[in-house]
Amino acid sequence: MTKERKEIELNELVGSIIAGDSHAEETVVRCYKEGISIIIGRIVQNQSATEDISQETFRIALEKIRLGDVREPERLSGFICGVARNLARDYARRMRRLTNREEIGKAEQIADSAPSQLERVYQKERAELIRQALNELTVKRDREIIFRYYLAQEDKGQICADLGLTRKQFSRVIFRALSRYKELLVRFQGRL
Amino acid sequence: MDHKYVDELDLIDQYLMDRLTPEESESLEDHFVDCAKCIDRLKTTQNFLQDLQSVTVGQLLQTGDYAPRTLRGLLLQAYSSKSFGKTWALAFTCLLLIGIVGTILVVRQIKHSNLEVTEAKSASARLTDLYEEERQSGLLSDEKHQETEQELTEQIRELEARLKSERKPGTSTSTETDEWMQPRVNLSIFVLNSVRGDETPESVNEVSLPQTPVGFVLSLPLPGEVEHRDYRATLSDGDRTLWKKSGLKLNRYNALSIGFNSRFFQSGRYLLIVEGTNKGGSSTFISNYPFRIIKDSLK
Repeated sequence: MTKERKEIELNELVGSIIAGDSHAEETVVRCYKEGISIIIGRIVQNQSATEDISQETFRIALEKIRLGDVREPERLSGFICGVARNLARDYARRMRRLTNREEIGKAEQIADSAPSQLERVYQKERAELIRQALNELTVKRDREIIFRYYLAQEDKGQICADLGLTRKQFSRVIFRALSRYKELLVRFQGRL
Repeated sequence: MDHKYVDELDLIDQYLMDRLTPEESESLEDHFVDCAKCIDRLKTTQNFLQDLQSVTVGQLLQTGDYAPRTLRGLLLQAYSSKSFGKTWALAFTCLLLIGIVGTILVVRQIKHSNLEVTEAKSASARLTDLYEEERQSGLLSDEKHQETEQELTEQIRELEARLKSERKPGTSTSTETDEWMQPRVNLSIFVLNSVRGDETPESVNEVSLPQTPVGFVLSLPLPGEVEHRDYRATLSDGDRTLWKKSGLKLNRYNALSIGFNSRFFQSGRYLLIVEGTNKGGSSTFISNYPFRIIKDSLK
């Protein structure tokens, strides 16, 4: 989508919401839901809290759009991201206060972060996907690239220099590994 | 920020590995929030990272595919190892032992060095004292040497002066000996009158001698003198002693006869003192014999 086309669409979207079009509101939610979840999830580190905050984000954002408070529709993405970040950070701050020993009375509000048994099984099966994806990297060097880049978090340039690779070759290996992993993951999730 | 920029700089990976600044993260979020392609890549990579980390590093190392090169990698390896606790305990113990041994060695070295310093200081002090002693000793020796040299020089000067003065009135002994080997005709004998103790001489004995060298005898009568073992005669010119002789015996006339060569004297007053030597070695004054040498002028 070109930038200009995107701006036109956003302008139309905001205009529709102001006009009371509920389909436009659903479109907004549908377009931004995944991205907002990722942003909120990185901050709060909690699945259920992420969902709650996401809902709250869209509630606040749509309310403001309806009232005409979004004066620059082309910056709608930034506006919604800002609302999501603020809500997530507020939540994280509250959680830090709640985990303080002086407020032990509110301990029941702290969610247990340890995975459940079901989640453990799920994680174990997901781990097998990794092994399978890595095993399909027949070249030892390719596996080394994955380990060094993602696991040891070494610098991409350093890895390329050590292994005598160009950045393109490096990116190709990463892409191949991730693609194969994604295929396996989709297949796995399809079985669930 | 556009999609191409995100791909080229691998911003998705950097974002998931927390390598972006807060501003860069927000900027990326504003882009991918409605970018299906970025979200897809993001979710795949996020799951991949989560699953990769959930697999134990030890299991990956067993395949021999991964050799940690960074500290993070080594820590991951150690942490995920089954013998993690043992490994760290062993490493800690080794470090502790190294630390203890190192500390002990350092302390010993310091002590040893301190001891060496103390010994060196003592030796230095001893050497300094020894040097000072030797220096003082050297100074004293120099002073003594100078004093001795001065004394010797003084003695030599005195002896030379004495020799000079003793040679003045008389001739050399070898000449005198040669002369006395020849017969003497008309040898002059002068009997000197004595002056005893506090007596004052009525007249000074006069001894007239020619200018040419001649031998003569001075006779010193000592009548009634039998008490002493032997006698000592001392000749002076009033200032200095010119001649002295001990162990003299009286002749059968109870007199001492002393032969001289006229070259021994110059015109002037002289004094002969006679002392008797006692048995114990001490001497007793007996008599003075003042006389005057008168040498005839050349005709």
